[in-house]
Amino acid sequence: MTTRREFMVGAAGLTFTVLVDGCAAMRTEERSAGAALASAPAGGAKAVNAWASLAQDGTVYIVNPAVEMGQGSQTAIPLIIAEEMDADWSRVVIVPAAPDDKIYGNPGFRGLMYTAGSATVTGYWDVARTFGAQVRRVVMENAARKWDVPLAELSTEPSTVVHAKTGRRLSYGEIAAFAQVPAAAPTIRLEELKKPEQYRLIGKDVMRVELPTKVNGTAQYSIDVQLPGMLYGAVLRGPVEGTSPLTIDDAQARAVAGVVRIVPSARSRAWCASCPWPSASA
Amino acid sequence: MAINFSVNGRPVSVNAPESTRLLWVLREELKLSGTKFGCGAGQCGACMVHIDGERMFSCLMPVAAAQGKAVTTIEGLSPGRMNALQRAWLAESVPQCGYCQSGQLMSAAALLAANPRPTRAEIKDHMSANVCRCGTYPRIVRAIERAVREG
Repeated sequence: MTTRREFMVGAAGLTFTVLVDGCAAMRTEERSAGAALASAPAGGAKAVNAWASLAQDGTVYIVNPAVEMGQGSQTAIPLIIAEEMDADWSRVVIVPAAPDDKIYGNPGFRGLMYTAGSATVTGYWDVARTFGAQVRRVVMENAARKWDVPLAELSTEPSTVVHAKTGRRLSYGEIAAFAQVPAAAPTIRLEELKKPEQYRLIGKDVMRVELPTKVNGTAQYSIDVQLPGMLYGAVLRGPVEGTSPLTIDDAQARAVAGVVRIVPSARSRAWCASCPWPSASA
Repeated sequence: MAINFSVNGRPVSVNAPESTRLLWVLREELKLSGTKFGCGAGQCGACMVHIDGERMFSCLMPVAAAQGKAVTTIEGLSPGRMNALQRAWLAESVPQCGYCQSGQLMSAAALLAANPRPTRAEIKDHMSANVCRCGTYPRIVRAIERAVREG
């Protein structure tokens, strides 16, 4: 897989846009990458891009391309990226991806943003690790230039580049303030990635990031989304598979306050109402 | 006709048909969406709240029946900080999809309020009112036991 990366300097830090050629899932065009950048949250300090950004205050923004259904995808993919970045996990903020298959599609799922079939962690595995390693490399190259030392003398600790010979250290946030970004991304071969015994995060007991929201009622589910003017629907199906109503008497349903419309179909009736209570009771 | 009661310690006055179920008043009018709609028939427990400290299926309870009562939802279980049950829920990584867990926690809190040191059999019996499609039951039992142990 050949890869091509675009790096951009954001208002408050480094932003990295991933453009991967040679991989149907990730092939993209300049404009879709631009659209992803444009859709990033405004507000200066949060220079979030297509995959990750480093803010000068040390916050590391990492995009999650998968849906959280309780199996931990929302934590796992950003954690894999953070592992190879050597990012300080306690400073990572996970940002939901914009719906764009070209940028965020799962290579393991025909390039679609589809979270299913136990294909998420395995599908993004190489891509996520490679991208994280490229971000780390760019950060290290900037530190090497700043200190005028060979890249090979540098190492990283979580969110910190270290020059052991002289004891100098620079945080990723500090580097984000002066970093220059190459036009072409550094090439990272899979064999250059961390070995399992070097992992700080993968394989460790890291709490899923969404868990606290699931014990205090703040986790948002589809049923919790409210939009102006939205209607609520409910479907009444036959009690036995394959049956159809012989007659439909919807007088009682129509009499329920808030019912907007009753939609008959071959096998069911559907209600649309201005609030969910009539839908559930009609 | 206005129906007056308190929710999480705050007085509320609701104008809704008396038969409207409390669940929808909480979710739609008061915007407390932590309480979930599951079956609508009092069979799954996703809608569990406390009425004057006792657990209740809010999907069945007509809002008029809340007149003068104190309603507590998951949002009011321990505002601003995690209580012992919630901490135990995290320690045991109980939630998977999490949809039923507000109701599970409200049921568990009602249990410990009435019986601070339940046996495992009492826990299982009490918690049988709540269904979890992900099958987190063993972790729920462990979390309640941990909350009892660690306070």
